[in-house]
Amino acid sequence: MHIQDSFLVGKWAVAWFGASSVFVSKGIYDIARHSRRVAMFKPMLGLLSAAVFFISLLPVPVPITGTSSHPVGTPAAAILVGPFASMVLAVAALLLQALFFAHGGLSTLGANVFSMGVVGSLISYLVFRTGRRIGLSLAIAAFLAGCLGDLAVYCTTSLQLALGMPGAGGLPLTKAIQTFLILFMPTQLPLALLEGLVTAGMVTYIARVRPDILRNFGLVKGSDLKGGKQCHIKLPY
Amino acid sequence: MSHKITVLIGVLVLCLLMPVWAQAGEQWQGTDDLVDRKMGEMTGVTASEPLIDIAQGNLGLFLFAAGGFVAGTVFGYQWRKIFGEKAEKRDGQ
Repeated sequence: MHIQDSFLVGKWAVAWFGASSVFVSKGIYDIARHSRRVAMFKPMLGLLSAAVFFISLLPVPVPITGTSSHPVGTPAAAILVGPFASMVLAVAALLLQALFFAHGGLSTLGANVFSMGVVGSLISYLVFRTGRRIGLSLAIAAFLAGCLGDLAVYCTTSLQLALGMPGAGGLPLTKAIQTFLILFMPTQLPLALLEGLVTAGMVTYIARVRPDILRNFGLVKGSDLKGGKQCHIKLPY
Repeated sequence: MSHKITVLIGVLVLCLLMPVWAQAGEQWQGTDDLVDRKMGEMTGVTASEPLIDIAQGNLGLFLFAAGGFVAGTVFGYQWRKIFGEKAEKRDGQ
């Protein structure tokens, strides 16, 4: 989802900046509010910011296709600190990657934040919450959230490239989307499974070692886990 | 438990053997690069030069190593705060 500079025409680059800024503003507000209420929120945010930066920069080789790509990291962050705070982490990671690692561009930062931060976080969080609501275990719900969140990011990137590529007038939108999906999906499907495993691993590890954190973040009820301390604060995200 | 360890070892071996099974002509090319090339074919537009050209000498290696070090340090520091022994005592006050 690292769309490079000059791959989106100006109006689409500006539009994605505008769309992302609404969600990121809510994320900054959420971080300020939750940091005051939950002791472990800031350390978790710091840990996940490093994880999102590293995971979304890490090229993982896929043997079937012989190509490499990277997971996105935002699904785990969205589950653990909330979808809007996760979007702010995506901004920090993508900005550093655009400035120092030649991954993505500054003019396309809004589009990249929208796909990886906004869509990746919201889809993952909704899948996780829905999964928990219909009775799936913590691990399965997190796995599905990781998989579907990862794939949603690359579907969004394909749409962004198809909509905003320069001189796209002659090419039908569906054909353009299909072209980019064909490039992404063979590599990204196995990586989505990996992202699901990593997400499930992170959530279940925290559930085992620090169940009080998940309770404090409102991710599990007291009866869902054994051990740990009881929850007194439930976050509204 | 032993079943889990066997599965983990299997996954690790699979990961290590990945390079042996690569089928593509140009191995381990990133999908971002494939998109860059496709965009060039479709529109004639190529990606703008990055602000910092990391292809110069060992600059890319330095930046990736430094980035990994900083991310690892931040991750480890916060990990200790969250999962370290003292963290539970602090939260239990």
